[in-house]
Amino acid sequence: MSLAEVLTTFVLVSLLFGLMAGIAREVNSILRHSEGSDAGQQVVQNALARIRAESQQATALIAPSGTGVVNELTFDRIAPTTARLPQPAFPAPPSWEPQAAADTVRVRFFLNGSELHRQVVPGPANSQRVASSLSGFTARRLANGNLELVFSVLEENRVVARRAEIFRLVRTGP
Amino acid sequence: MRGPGTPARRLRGSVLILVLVLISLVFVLGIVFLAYRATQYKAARQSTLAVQARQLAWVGLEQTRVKLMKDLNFPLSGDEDQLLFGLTENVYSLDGSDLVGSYRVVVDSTYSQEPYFLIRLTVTGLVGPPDRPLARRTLSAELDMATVARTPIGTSNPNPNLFQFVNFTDEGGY
Repeated sequence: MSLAEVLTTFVLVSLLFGLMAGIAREVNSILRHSEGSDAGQQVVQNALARIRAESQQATALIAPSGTGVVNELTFDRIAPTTARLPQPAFPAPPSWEPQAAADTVRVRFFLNGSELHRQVVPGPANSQRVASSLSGFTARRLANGNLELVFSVLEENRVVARRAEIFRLVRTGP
Repeated sequence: MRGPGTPARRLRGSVLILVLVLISLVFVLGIVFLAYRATQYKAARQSTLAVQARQLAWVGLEQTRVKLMKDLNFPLSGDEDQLLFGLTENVYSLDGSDLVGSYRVVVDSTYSQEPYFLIRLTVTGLVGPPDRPLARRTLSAELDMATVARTPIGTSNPNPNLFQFVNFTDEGGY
């Protein structure tokens, strides 16, 4: 192999490595950006799935009570383990209420630092962590009766607010 | 003139191997990257299907509620001891050419008599072919069927919650 061949090979291989390194750097940058965004969205998705599934069971919305924005979500729902519907159904009690106070629990979602917590009354004394890495949580009752939740999450050194509207199926209470 | 098998020819062969190794490296990196993205796209698609399944279940709930309100012959009267009634409806695309999914409804009349006046509905939304669904979601709800208000006892006031959902549970799915 002549000196010219060695130099040409060296230059070509250097160019190839440089090109590959450039592409890898760009891809890494894009992936890091999208992963940061994905992680933020995942936090919101998890919290939203949990709150949606439970708040749609709400028989009465305690907070927000009006159309104002509040930093928590509190509602009553029928306790899943209650024996409100006896089996067998008969003999039946003399009177029966579908949403009797004795059959309901009060659920509260609130922000504790950067963590979203859930507290059930009556229930365990300690609240349960639902999500972390949140920088804000607000709830608002919309004019159509639905619920609007806004989660703020830190993504790539900036706070991004994500909004979700929750349809309320049970509309018999406040 | 150098003949075959001389050191110079072996050096040229080593460059070829180097190039092949580099191409293989780029190829493997590309495959890894594409596999990573494919997993992400698959997860995103499953998330969309899960939302569709939930929406189908919602449709089933509302359709059944309206049928119970408007159709005196629904559910079909059979043996008076028959407390469960099931039906399945397919949902097609707007032009009617493609099957989007289906929903299965179970109407439970166990608690339809005094003092409960309650009908329980369990609806499962299925995306894709019913025998091999791509996603499914089950929702349960209780429908108030009392024509007269329950309180105060003995009142003749109409029930404001007649044909309204008084309880709702998201049973989950995939």
